[in-house]
Amino acid sequence: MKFAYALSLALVVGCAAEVHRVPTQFTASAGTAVLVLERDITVTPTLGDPATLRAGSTWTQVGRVPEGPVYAIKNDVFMVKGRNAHEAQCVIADGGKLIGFFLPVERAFVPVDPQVQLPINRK
Amino acid sequence: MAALKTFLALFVVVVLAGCAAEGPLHKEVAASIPTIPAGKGRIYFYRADTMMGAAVTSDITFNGRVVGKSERGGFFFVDENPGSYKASASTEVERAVTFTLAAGETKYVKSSISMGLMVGRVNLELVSPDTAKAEITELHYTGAPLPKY
Repeated sequence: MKFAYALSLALVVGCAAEVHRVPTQFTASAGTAVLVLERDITVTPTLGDPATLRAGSTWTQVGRVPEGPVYAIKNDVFMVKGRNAHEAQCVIADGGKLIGFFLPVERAFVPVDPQVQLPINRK
Repeated sequence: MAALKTFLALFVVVVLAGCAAEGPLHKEVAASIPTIPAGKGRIYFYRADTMMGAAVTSDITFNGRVVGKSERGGFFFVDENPGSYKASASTEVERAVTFTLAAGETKYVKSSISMGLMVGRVNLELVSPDTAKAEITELHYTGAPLPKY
């Protein structure tokens, strides 16, 4: 019984999952598209902790991956977290649907499931 | 019994006090902190002065190089070339944060302690400049000697 308790505790405390990601190809661009989020949106990567995109945050297009255009947050920081934390950018389809995150250090794509329609203003 | 309680209370106070960062307050050294060298960026590392895991400390490594310690109530900074970086800290497990740095940019990495199996864990995360600037004000500088201080 004590062993089971210790094992459960170890699983709960010790085994945070790393963010699930796949390698991707990033192409930088001097895009001028700017999006402003109208309200808080919380999304969950396929494996990892929920991440909240804050109301009023401004996102500027910085490039593209095969999965879609990549937007970086302006004057703030944004991360996705699992066992570790990763600076992240949003991959937002032309219709305004968030389809995942791009991790610039790892050069990797993190899908979100389900994809989320963002309440955005285009500037 | 009363004497034992007093002893234990004093012991706890001494232990916790011994774990806090030492050094001048941010407001005392702010004017001595140099501007970011041309072509470089700056990363501040800090930990709030909270009692959660107060006794837990860890080296902070930056792309594999030890640059300082996560200590309760302490902060320091490093200047680096633009690029991709991984900062990490470890007690019973390693926790890391990855981020990019541009020339002239300042980023803030905050460490905090969470419960572990045998010992608290040091977690690292990026923090917005507004939040970090407000929190660093009351912390102690633990970095390399400053030129004019």
